Amino acid sequence: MRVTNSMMVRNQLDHLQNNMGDLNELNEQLSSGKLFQMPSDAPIKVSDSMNYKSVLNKNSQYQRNLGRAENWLNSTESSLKSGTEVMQRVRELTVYASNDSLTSEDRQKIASEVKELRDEMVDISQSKLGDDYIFSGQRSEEKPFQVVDNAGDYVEYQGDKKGINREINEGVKMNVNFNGEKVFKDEIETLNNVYETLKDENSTGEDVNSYLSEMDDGLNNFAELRSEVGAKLNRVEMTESRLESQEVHIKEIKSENEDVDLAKTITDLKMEETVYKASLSSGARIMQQSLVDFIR
Amino acid sequence: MNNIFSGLNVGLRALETQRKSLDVTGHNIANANNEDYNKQRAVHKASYPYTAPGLSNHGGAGQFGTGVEIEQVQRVKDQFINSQMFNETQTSEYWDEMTRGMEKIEHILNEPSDSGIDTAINEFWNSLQDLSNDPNDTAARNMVRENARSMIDTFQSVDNQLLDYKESINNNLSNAKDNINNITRKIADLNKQIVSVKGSKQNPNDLMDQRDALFKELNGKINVQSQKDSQGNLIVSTEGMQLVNGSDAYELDIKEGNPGEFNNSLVHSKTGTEIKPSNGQVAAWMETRDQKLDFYRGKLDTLAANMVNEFNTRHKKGYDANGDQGGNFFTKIPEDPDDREQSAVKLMSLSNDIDKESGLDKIAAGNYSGDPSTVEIDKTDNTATGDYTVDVVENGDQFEVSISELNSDVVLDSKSINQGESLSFDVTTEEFDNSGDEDFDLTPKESGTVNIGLENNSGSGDNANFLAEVFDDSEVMDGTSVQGFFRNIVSTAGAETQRANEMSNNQDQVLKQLNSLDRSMSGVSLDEEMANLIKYQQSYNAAAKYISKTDELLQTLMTIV
Repeated sequence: MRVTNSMMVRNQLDHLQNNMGDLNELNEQLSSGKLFQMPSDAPIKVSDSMNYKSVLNKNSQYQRNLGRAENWLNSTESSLKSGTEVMQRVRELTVYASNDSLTSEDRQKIASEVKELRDEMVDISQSKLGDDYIFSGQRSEEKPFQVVDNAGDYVEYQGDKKGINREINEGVKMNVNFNGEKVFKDEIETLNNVYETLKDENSTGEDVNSYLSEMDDGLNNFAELRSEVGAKLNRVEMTESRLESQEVHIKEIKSENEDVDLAKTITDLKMEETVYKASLSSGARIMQQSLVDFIR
Repeated sequence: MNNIFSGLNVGLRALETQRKSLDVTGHNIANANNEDYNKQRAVHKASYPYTAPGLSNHGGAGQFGTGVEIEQVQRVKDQFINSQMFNETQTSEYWDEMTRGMEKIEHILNEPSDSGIDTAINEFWNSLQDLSNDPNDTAARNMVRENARSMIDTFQSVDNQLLDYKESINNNLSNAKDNINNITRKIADLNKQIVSVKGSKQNPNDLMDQRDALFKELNGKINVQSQKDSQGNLIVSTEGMQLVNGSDAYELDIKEGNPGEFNNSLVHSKTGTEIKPSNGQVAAWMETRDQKLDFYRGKLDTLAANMVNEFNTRHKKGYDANGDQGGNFFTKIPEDPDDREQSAVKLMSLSNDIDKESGLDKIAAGNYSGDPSTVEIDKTDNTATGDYTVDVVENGDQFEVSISELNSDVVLDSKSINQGESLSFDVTTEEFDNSGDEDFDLTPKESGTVNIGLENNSGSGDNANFLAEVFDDSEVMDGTSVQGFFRNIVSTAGAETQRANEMSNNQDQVLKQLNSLDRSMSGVSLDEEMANLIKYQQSYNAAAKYISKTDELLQTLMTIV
């Protein structure tokens, strides 16, 4: 084939352009750290990466939701713990007060302590997490109990029976709240009855003693609820660690999908650089010369 | 008569011929870097021989040469490669422009990035989840509203940019038209000159080079065919319409389309026929304008309309912070595209109720159903109260639904219904019935157990959760989720750009190959020209020597006298 000067120059330029293009691509990958900048660089990979990104976003949201669930359950747990302590203290006092040898003055002293403990139990039922009363069901802006102090009831439940749910994983919802009426109503009434009985000068030690079994029921109730909270906290922790390991895993896949392998890219870049330099110097050598240089 | 003087003529012709050949060489060297230039060659031919058959011919039999002359200055050109180059230029420019157009669309879609539609959706989703955790929190409500606004902005900014691009292509069409008309006019002028030079039996080589270059440029713009007539005119036509005939050029014109639709078209000014280019830059522009941009805008429209309407449907199933039934969260978008006054994306906006100052409370975060994606509740009697547990079991294409009071094992009623149908429940009789006294409708969606409560207390975030699921639910976009659908748009655009880019690269290779062949044939080789320079110089010297020898002969002859 006949080779002309313009052919050579053009080919040389084309090749230089190609080499420059390759260099540029590698350079872009190195400086951005990503294998692709635009969807057309790798349509499927871009779509995958977008998917991983939203999976990670969801994952971190679920972890946040879990944190909220954990807070809620921890508050519940600490309320139940306080409730148990109050109940135990009242039980001790009741046992002590059922002794008929106490003076009425002593009984009144105990009665006033029980009164304080009863009020504390009501306070405990009104635990809040942020702005929400945790024992009011979905009526979380209202205190769970209102003191009515009429014939049968000392308090009245204000909340509802509905559940508070947290989405802890895609499509998985966990109920975090406990119906306040079931948790505290009977206990508060028992404490109030004990107080009323102690206050009443005509009541006997036996009258006081008769509340012991109700108190044991209350303590059992708290214990059962606490184990339920414990189980839920367990589930929260397990889900949390699953989400965390999923997060690590997805991050790994995502990075494999889109991140530049530095060692390989740098090696490639070095290689391209050598090729580019070679084509520059060969071009410079060839293009300079023609017969013109040799005719005097 | 062949005599001693004719020797001088032979020498003179040789001198002239070599000198003219040197001129041609000089012209070649001068144009060594002109891409459109085709190498020229002085074709030497022995001039007409002297012949005088007859008895008086004392020189013996045969003809005597009279030296050399230049038959023609020939343009070295392979017409076959040339016409291939014209064709491939059309395709090459078409794909170049397609690539440019698709890359622009890709840029507008702005993915993967932290400021695109995908991220906006993610952030909106997050704020809905946060709201479901904290339905009473004003800040959470505010985030939902703000993120909805920014999602709308992102959609609209992408759509606007696509529309702007459409408009700019439309405006550019008139530049393309001017360009084409300019070229065809020049070709017509060149035709005129070429025919007149050819008429005087000469080769208008340089003019033909110019005409070829112009025709190649025209091929890049639009698909054209050409034909040469016997006089040497290049007759150019596109889509069956003549653009150049002899020294006449027929212009293209722009026919204004409907306002706002950016659909101007090209028409042949002489006949008024609309021209739809099938190749070249203009074809790529028109295809990008009329098909690609409409395709991607249409996809975004479908996405926006389905998403907004599904979101509203779900929003209306919930109740707001005041306990009232939810309204439209977004302004409703008509289902049928024909009923829309503008594109769905342009119609995207927050509904008036949500948009106004007090709108935060109108966000319906609460739901009567603990999990609306399992069982949907439509409360028909506003005053009804009660808490129930609903159990749904999928059985073939039916759902078995049983209802009991909350936390009780006693089943109040149970019934089987077809999927997609609803049951009505009467709180008083505690039965499913359709007597008209029913208090709520219940639509099972999947197997599961769900607690429902007919009170509308503000601590419920179940509907916010249900709303967030709009973006994951594969039913919303007919088999894919909202985000999956968008990812699909992005990867389709990516794949199309990739293909256009590959086609354009392939076409470049084809053109390079052809160009290489063409330059190999027609390009100027300086080595060759330098060699010719010496060759003609030597011949010139030799011819001069011959003349001086002939002169010596004459001198000798003269001294006899």
